[in-house]
Parts: sequence; C-alpha cells; structure tokens
Amino acid sequence: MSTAVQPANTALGEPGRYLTFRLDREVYGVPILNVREIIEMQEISPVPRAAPSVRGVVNLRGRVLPVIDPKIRFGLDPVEPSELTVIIVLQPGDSKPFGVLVDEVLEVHRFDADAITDAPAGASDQQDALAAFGKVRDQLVFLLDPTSLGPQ
Amino acid sequence: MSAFASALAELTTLLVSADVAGLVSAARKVRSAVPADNEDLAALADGVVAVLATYGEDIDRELLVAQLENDIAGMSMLAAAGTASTGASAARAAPAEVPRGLPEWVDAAMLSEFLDAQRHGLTEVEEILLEAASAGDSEKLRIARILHTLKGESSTVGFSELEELYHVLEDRLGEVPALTAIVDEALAVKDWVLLAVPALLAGNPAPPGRTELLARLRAEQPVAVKHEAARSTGPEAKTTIPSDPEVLALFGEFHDEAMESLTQADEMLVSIESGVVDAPTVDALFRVFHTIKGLAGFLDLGAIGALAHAAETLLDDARNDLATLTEDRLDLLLRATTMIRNVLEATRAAVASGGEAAKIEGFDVLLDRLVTVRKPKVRDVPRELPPMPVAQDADGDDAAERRAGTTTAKETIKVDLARVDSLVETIGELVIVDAMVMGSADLRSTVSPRTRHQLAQLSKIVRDLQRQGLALRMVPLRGVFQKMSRLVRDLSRRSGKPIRLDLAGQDAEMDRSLAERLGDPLVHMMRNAVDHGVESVEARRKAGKPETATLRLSAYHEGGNIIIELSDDGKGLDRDAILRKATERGLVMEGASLTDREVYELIFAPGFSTAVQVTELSGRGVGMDVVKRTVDELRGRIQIATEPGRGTTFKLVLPLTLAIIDGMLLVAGSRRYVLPTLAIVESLQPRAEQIHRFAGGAQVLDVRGEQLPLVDLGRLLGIDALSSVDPTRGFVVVVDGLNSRFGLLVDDLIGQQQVVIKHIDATVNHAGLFSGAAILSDGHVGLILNPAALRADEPRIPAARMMPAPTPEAK
Repeated sequence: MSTAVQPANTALGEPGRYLTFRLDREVYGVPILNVREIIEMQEISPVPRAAPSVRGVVNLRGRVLPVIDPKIRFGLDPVEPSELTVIIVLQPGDSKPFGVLVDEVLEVHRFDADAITDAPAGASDQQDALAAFGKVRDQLVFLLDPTSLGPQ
Repeated sequence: MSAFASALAELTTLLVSADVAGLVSAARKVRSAVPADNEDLAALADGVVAVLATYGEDIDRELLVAQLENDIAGMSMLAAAGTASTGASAARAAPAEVPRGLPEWVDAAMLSEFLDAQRHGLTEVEEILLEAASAGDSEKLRIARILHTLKGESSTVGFSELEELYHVLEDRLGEVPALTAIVDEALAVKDWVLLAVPALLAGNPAPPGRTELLARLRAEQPVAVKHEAARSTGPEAKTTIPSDPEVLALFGEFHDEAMESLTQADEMLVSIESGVVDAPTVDALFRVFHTIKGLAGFLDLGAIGALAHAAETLLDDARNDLATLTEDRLDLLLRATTMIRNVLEATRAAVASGGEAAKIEGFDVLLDRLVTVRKPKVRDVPRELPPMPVAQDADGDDAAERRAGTTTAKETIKVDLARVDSLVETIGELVIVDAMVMGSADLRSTVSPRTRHQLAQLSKIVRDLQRQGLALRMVPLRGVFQKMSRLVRDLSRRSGKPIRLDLAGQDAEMDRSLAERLGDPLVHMMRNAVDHGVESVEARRKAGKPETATLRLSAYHEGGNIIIELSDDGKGLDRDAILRKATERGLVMEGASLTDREVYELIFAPGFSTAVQVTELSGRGVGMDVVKRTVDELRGRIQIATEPGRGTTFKLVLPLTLAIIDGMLLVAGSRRYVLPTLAIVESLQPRAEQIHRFAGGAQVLDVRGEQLPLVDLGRLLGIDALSSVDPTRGFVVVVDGLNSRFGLLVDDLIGQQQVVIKHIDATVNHAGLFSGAAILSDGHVGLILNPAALRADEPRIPAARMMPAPTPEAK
C-alpha cells in the first residue's frame, strides 16, 4: 500500500500537532492526524435505545456517521447547539469514523515536549480519555485519547 | 516386370478414361498383386480400392485423379524399395470422401491435413528416436509434445484407436528414465499408425496388431508400478505450494476455474448415472479432468494431478467403450470430484496461511480405488442400490443443449469484487444526491422547463446506472442448483429412497453475495425433505404413490423479490408430532391451541427435531434453524404449505440484492423509520373496538378474528408518539415476524420507497432494533427497523399461547 510520510497516529500524549476545541469553558485537544474533517452542525437523527452519549447519526455524503456528545460522556450537560457548534470527524487508527460534537473549534497547535506533562493518576474520573496535559499560552489543554471518544 | 508393376501400369493408363468400373477392377488387380510380405503396400492398395469403391458422381474428378496418381507413385516407390515399413511416404491415401463413422464435422480437407500432420509428426518422432542414445530430457519433452498433438488430432477426427495408442505411449514415455528404453515400442507404434491411417481413412477397420502393441506397452507399465507412480506424487510429496507470487496468482484462477468445472462434471456424472450416457458427455467430462490435470501439473499440485489422471484414465476407457462406465466407476468419479475440491480448498487455505496443506483423509484410499477399479475383478459383488435420482431441467433444455450453450459462452472479464462493490456504493450515493436535488423545493420553483427536462433526463440515467450497477453483481442460480442435484443423488443413495430432482428457473439471477449464502440453507432443506418429507419405498407403495419421490426446486421472480421453492411429494408435515415434540421440549404449553401456521413454524426452532432417530442425514435439529436464521439475515421470509400425504412446499421469499430494499416509510413521533416491505403483510387503521388492553398493559389487536400482539413503536423506541396515546389515530402495520405475526402501531405511513442500505455501527445499535440505516430523499437518515427484534422486545402477554422465555422466577 502507500507509504505514509507521517506516522499514521501520534502516540498518546506525545509532542505533535493537536486540534484544540472547547467544551463549556475548558479546552481539549486531539491529535490532528486522527481528525478527518470538521463539518458544520446539522440535524442529528437520534438512535433510540442507544447509549446516552450517542446523539444519533448524520448523513455524511451518503455514509451514516454516528455522532457522540463528549459532554454527556464526561457527565456534563449535553452540548447545546449554537452558531459555534461543529462536528469533528475523528478516525483513530483503523476504526470507523465517528463524529464528536463540540462547543467550538479553536486552532491547530503544535505542542512541543516541554509543553506536555503526563496526566497524574486520579486527575480525572475519565482517566481513560485523558492522555496528558498541554499548555498553550498559560491555558491548560486536556489532551485526549481519540479512541476513547468513539461509540462504545 | 512383376505382376504388381503391370497391374499398376494398367491402373495408370485407365486413369485418363472415365471408366469407373474399369478403374475399380484394375485397383483390385493391383491389390491382389501385392507381394504377401509387403504390408505397407497392401494397406495403400486397400486404400485405393476403398476410395474407388466409394466413388460417386459428385466427386471432383480431377481431384480423384490427382490423388490416385499420388497413390500410384507411392505404390511404385514402395514396390521398388521392396521394404515393408521404413518409408516415410508409406501412407498416401488421401481420401476423396469422408469415410463413414467419423464425426460429421470432419471433411475431406480436414482429413488430408490430418494425414499430413500425422505423417510429419511421426517422421519427426522417428528421427529423434533414432538418435535416442544421445538425446536428453529436452528431446523427451519434444516427443511428448508431438505425441500429445498427434493424440489430440486423432481425437478430433474421431480415431479413438490411434488416440488410445498415443495415450498409452505418452504414459509410457513419462515413466521411462531414458528414451532408449522405448525406442522399439515407439517405432512399432509409428509403423502401425502409418498403416492404420490410410485404412481408417478409407473406412476400413484398423489393421491388426494394435491390441498386441497396447499389451506390449502396458506390460511395460504394470498397474502396480503405475499406481506407485501416482502415489509418489501424492499429497505427501507435494503439500506446499511454491512461494513464487506468479504461481500463487495462477493458483487463485486455477482454483476458481477448477471449482466451476467440477460442478459441471458433477452434473454430467449424475446425468450419466441416470442413464443419459453419450459420447459427447464423456468427452466433455474427460476434458474437465484433463484440463485440471494439466494445470495441476503446471502448478506442481501433485495430489490433484494424480487424482485427475486416474479419473481421466477411467473416462478414457469409457470413450472407447461406454459400457465400462459402471456404477462403481461413476461413484468413484463423483468421489474424485469431491476429493479434488477438498484438496483444492486445503491448498487454498495453505496458500492463505503460508503453511502446508492439510492431508485429506481418504485420499490414498480413493486414489487406490480409482487405479485398482480398472483391474478385472475375480467376482463382482453386486450391491443393492436404489435407483439413481435424476436431475431434470423442468425448463426443457436438456443437458446436451446446455453444454452446447457453454461452448458458445458470452465473453467475460474478471473484475476484483471490491471494485464492483465500490462502484455500486458510489452509484448508491449518486442516487441519493439525485433524489435530494430533485426533491429540493427551490429547484422546483426556479428552474426553467428546459432545465427541468434535462434534470429529469439526468435522473433517468442515474436510475439506469443504478440498475446496471446492481446487475453487475447478479449471478444466475444455476451454480447453486447444480450442486443440489449432486447432493440429492448422494442423499438418495444414503437414505435408500429413490428420488428425482426437478430443477426450474436456474437462469433466475440474484445478487452474488446472496446466492452464495443460499447454499447452506438449501442443503438443509434438501436433507430435511429427503429425511423427513419423503417416505420409505414401502410406505410410498402402500400409499399408492410412485416409488420414486420427486423433489422440485424452482426459482422465479415476483415483484422485485426472488422466490425459491422446494416441494416434495412426501408425507407432509405431521402437525401432531410437531406439537407433541414442542410441548415435550417446553416450547409450547400443554394444551395450547396453536394455528397451523404457528405449529409449522416450530420446526425452525433451534434444536427442534421430530425425527425418532438421529440419522446421518438429519435429526439433530440444527438444519431448519440455519434456514430460518439465514433467511432472516437476508431480510427474507419463509412460507410453508403442506398437505398431509401429498407433500410440503417451502417457499423462501428473498430480496434480489442486499444493497437495496423496498421499504415502507413510517412515522413515530417526529421521526421517520423504514420497515422492509417484505416483512409487511398488510396495514390498517385500527378501530377502537379492535384494540384490547390486557390489565391495562399489553395490547392485543383483533384482525378479522385473529388476535395479534400489538407492538407500540413509539413506546418501544422511547419516543413520544401520538398513537401511543390514542391508537385509533395511528396506523397498524401487520408484520410477519416468522415466529408470530404482530401488529406494529405507528403514527403515520408515508409510503414505499427503495432505499440503499447503509451499515450502522453496532456499538450505536446495541439493542439490535435496527438492521441498518438509509439516507432518505431529503438527506436525513432513516433507521431501518429489524422486524425480528421488534417483537422479541415487547413485553409478552401473560397466558400467551407461546411460552415466555425462561425468566429467573421460572427457574
């Protein structure tokens, strides 16, 4: 097959480029290599009896894409659609793509090694999702494991 | 001047005259004047007499004269040389007319070409052989090639005598370590052929000496030795596939082709067994094994090659004498096709895993029997066997016709399945976008009539494209059906019940992936029919039925679906036995009253069997469960019709393709859902008096006296639906959920629509309520309801006729 110029996956919490976004007032980041695209907020068809964090499915150019609300997963109030709300389409590794609903997309930022610290054990109830802490201009960024955001 | 020379001179002078009678008598004189020891010359003279004897008015005179001149020249040369067999110009009797007994496509021109080719080839063989002492392996190969060509040509013009001789010589050549070992035999063969060809061309019997030659050649290769040879190239010798990627790629093709031809071989063998034996069929069979042998040799698959060779040898006997194709041999040949299949599969697995092919049990025994069956037995132990089943094409085209059809096969190309799938998927997306564009409101209001017309045109082409795209994956059911005729034959044998299988609708097409999955359920249905449906011979006789039972397997299209029907003329389903067994097994409560339909559907329950005895064929109760599960997965349904004493019909109603279904668009709350139309029996607007609520909970719908459980879609999905509040304001769709019918209460019905099925993530759909999703014409996603899961989820009505699933309290 084709030879990837870049590694297909940034190791969790490693230095590299991350897409940062906002949930409520906190800033989160996922490795840019796992981001397929960002699509605008659209009507989501709910899937009855699915896990609560599954907001439903949307039509992505003829494909059916599940959309996850990470705030429900983290025990927060659901994402309230606003003008800034978007869906980040993630595809970590070989998994199937899925959408993640976020309050606002911020920027693509390069985190160098000195801007990253390991997440201490017990820092979060969502320990499996949190890979590391990052710093952007004194702002704390939660660097996430994108796989853990997917439908479970 | 000798008597011969003067007779020849007389013949020559007569040539210019038109006196045929004179020519004939002159030719006879020539023949009688041939010296006794000169066989070659005698043969040639015989040929001339024969040619003249068949002389007719329509023969080109000039051509005849030219040929006779040629022959006379040959004869005078032979006479002058006075030798018997060394002249390469010995045979010169080009025929003026095709002798009787040859295939009809053989004409004079072909025969003369044949004659030249034989003469030429043999001369070459002779030259090589005479230098055999210095010849190496490459020379051996050259001879083998020439002999093979000569054999093939002989077969083409129908000279089986020559063909066999060449074949045996070829075999022999393959076994000797050095060419020098067979120089004598090979030269003897050459001499005989040069004698025989003119005689055969003249329509005379072949000269004597062939049997002796054959015996001589075969004596040099006793059966035991031959057997050893076959064995040494057996699976032990070649279990691994060469790792050469080119060869590996070839193996894939070989595998597919071989599988296909083996299926055809099975069909032909079964048809021969039923008494339809003719030379073309045997020839076609021979070719199948011959081709497999050749390719196997090329790919170094010794085991397959050895089997194919043994099978081919049996068929070669049959080509000489159809009577040698005994039941025993046919059975062995059928076993051989199965064994080759097994070896092929094992090899493929080995190729995939890079390991060694597993040794197939029974391989050596079968190979052994294939070889030893040719040895005359001291005493044939007659076996009691049921009459053979016959697969008959109820469409009327007989086997020969179909074979003719395959030789003029349409041109095809092989395409990677993934490419076809991706094309079909892309077309599906195109269809969706097209529907979205066409349905867009602003488009309708703004564009000119001209643009609208063009858009309509575009839409039409998109539909055409969709149809053609789906057709790419369509395959006729013939392949699946043909396997069944072989299966029924085996089942008939094993069960001792004579059975005939009628096939109809083999050309009906369906999606390849569906057709592939049909194999298993059909096998189980066949087994079930043979084991449970068809009575024993005695029982049939008592019932006044023909002893040979008839199974009928047919396929046809009906309203966008494909119907596959299997009927037997057996005893029909035993309602009481099924009910008794179901009660015993706790599937039904004691004393429950079930409709016929409900009783019959019990046979699909896992582990259900009414068989008193578990036989080799069936009785473990797994079969029909597989049938039901597969049909469910394919979004189809099963209907059963049975009449005691008259037989049972299973009817599978299946969608043509897995990619697209006909769906009914339903509304519950503010959402639309798709229900496969296949599952829908009817829909109605319920009146208040039709709905009963048991103890304020589970609802029952009364439809023309039939009580159906009512599933409230809104409540099931946990959404607010109007119909949940007031059922009479909604609609009920009666769903055929196989185990039982039920009514599905919805808010509204929008209509039928073809939808492209998209997979949805299992993690999203963990309740299994949906079998997929579809993009609706406005671009929104509509979830496709899984009928089987809807009913299972609704709380059961207490005291229902079916027992509830075991609950913790029940334990």
